[in-house]
Amino acid sequence: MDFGRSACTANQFLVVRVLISRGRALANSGPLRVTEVPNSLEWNRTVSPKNPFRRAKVAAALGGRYSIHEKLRVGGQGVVYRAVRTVALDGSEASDQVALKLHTDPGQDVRVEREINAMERLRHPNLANLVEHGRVKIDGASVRYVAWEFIAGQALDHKLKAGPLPPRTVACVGRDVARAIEHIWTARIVHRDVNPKNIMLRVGDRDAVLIDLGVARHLDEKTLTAAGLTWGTMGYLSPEQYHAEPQLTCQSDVFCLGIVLLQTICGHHPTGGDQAALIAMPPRTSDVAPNAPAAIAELIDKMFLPRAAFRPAPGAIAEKFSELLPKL
Amino acid sequence: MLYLNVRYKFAAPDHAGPVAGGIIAASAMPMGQLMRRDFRKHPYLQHRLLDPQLYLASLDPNVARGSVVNLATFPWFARHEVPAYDSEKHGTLAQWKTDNADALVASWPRKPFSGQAAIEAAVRAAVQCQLELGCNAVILPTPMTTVATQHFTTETEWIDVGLAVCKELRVTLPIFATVALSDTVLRGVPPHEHPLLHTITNQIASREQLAGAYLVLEQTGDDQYVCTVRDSLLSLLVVTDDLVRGASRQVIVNYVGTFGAVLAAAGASIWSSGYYLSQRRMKLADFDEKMGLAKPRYFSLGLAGDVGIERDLQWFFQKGFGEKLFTKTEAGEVVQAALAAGTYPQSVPEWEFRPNNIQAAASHYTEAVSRFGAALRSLEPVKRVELVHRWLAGAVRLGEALKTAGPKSYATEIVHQPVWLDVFEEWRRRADM
Repeated sequence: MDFGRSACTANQFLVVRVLISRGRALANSGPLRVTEVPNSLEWNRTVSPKNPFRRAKVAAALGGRYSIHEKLRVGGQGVVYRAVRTVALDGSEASDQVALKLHTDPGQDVRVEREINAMERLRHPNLANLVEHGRVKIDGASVRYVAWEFIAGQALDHKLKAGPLPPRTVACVGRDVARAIEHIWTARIVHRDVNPKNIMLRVGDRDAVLIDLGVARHLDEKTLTAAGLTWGTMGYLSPEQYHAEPQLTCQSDVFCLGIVLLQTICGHHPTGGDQAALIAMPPRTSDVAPNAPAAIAELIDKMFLPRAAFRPAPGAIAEKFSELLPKL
Repeated sequence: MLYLNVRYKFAAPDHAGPVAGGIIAASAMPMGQLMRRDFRKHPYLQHRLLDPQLYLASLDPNVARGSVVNLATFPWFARHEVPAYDSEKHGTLAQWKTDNADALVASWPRKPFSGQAAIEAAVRAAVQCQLELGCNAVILPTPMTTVATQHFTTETEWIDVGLAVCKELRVTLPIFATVALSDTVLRGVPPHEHPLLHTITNQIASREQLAGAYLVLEQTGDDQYVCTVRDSLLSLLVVTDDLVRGASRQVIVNYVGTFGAVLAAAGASIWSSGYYLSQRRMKLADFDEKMGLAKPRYFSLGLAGDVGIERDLQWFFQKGFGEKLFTKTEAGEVVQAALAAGTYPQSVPEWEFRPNNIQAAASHYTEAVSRFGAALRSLEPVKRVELVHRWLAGAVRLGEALKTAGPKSYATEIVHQPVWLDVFEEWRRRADM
């Protein structure tokens, strides 16, 4: 899913499926077997040589309710356009910008459905909210479309290419993403893929938005992943994800946010993307970002605690960053 | 602090000492009767909790008929048309049970309800029952965690439904989630690396509405009053510590006898026990109707266990262990004096070894453990840990000395002390306490 990123950036870490022999992982008896496969949710990995849809056809298929603008992203799963919705589903007039995603990979239908189901239950200023979704026929093919709130700004991974961000921005990201994590957890949903690519900074860098619940998991739902497998992005997995524990909570997302914040404050991934090193010896903020304000460093370090129950709750993290912000 | 596990009779033993409250077990009596009981006569029950005991949902009515008849009256176990017991309408409780036992047993599903609607109705009934009883906290029912359910998925489903019900009912009391662990899921896995324990603490800690966990251990193997399984005991310490120090939650622990004092050192705020075997441990087999009448046992705080009084108490006294073995209580004073005077057991009928003659022994046990609980409660956490460590180390030394002297029966508990000390020391080392 894409939310209007202004630039396509190559991700430095593949989204992977981590194949873990559960017994071996528990016994901690050797290196994990990891198979990296391109994630079909990752739009900028596999650029289709040809856009399968013409804008005019898309606009016509949607009954003229959208004016379709530039293409934001093309991938193995489909295409994303910036679009302006002129007529809402109920026929009323509208004028909202959306990131309009057309899904062309029927193999991902269940995951897309899951994301839609999750987002239909959730609305929050720090989440890219669902606008509408449905199916249309384009060139005889049934295509699922999903319109998401358009986030004007840049993805955090793109911002980080220019180097570390100031503590104030770090605190904004910490506050807002923690709020988003807290909110989705009220519906017992775990994002499972909090990483810089999935965080958008709105223009002005004062607000952050968590995007892409494509691999999020509701506790009630049957897993789409075989036992012993886990989803997420290498370099951003919590110990529980890494060990393919079946019952994750928001505390897992808190760990991932800790990595993101440390990367944001020091400008690079704290272990160079080495997931095993991250689990074996979680970095200390003072080591990788010696100039980080002490209060921020202390909070980030707590988010890295190996035991999920020991990490601060997302609500407490958001509160703490809110307190710190005026002082930064 | 010590709570008493409340049985059918609410009265605490005489000279019970500073008992802080009581936990009423759903299996103690039919719901209709429980709801009509007067708590005001029993001051310690000003602070009361109801254990909904959903972890007993698998009881077999063929062998545990009495308990099943009681439990089936609570709507979170079974659905039926049997009217609630009312002495004015139904005469004696025994008569009501005779009239309705078959229907109640027939309604017993032998497993917890499943499906959102059924779970919600069950949890709602459990919460409302606790509110009507005037409990000081709500204990959310959850099924037992067994080898078949060790992902804690069903349990979290019950907990989340319970939290939603509490929100809807605007419950302002502290809310605890039952964590009932069969020790079969704990044996053979190092507790500090046990993924189930991580999952449990993680799931509890991530629900801000929960005040904490109500921890119950099912002992499947032990034939003794006390648990001697190292992994199980250390698991309880790890979960308690993780929740209390790690996640700033509270832990109430039940059915581990005086190991509750050890867990209090690790941060448990309430531990519950009682004189009877069924008050000290939770074992599904104990609900089978084959239990004999209780006989008196002498609880020795110094030993952290019981001394058999049929043959051992006098023997150990004669061997010079009196001072170390005795625990000063109102009810125990008489036996101590008689032994010193050489007149035991003839002169002390209340401590005579015969079935059901347990009033003095129960009073002695309750006073001894409640005073110890209160003493622990009054200390700073670090001092509490040190006191429990000294207590266990002393119990090990005493146990070894008694072994050397040669106990005359198996009634004296001299096996568990080294296990308890070992797990406590390992917990201290790992927790850096």
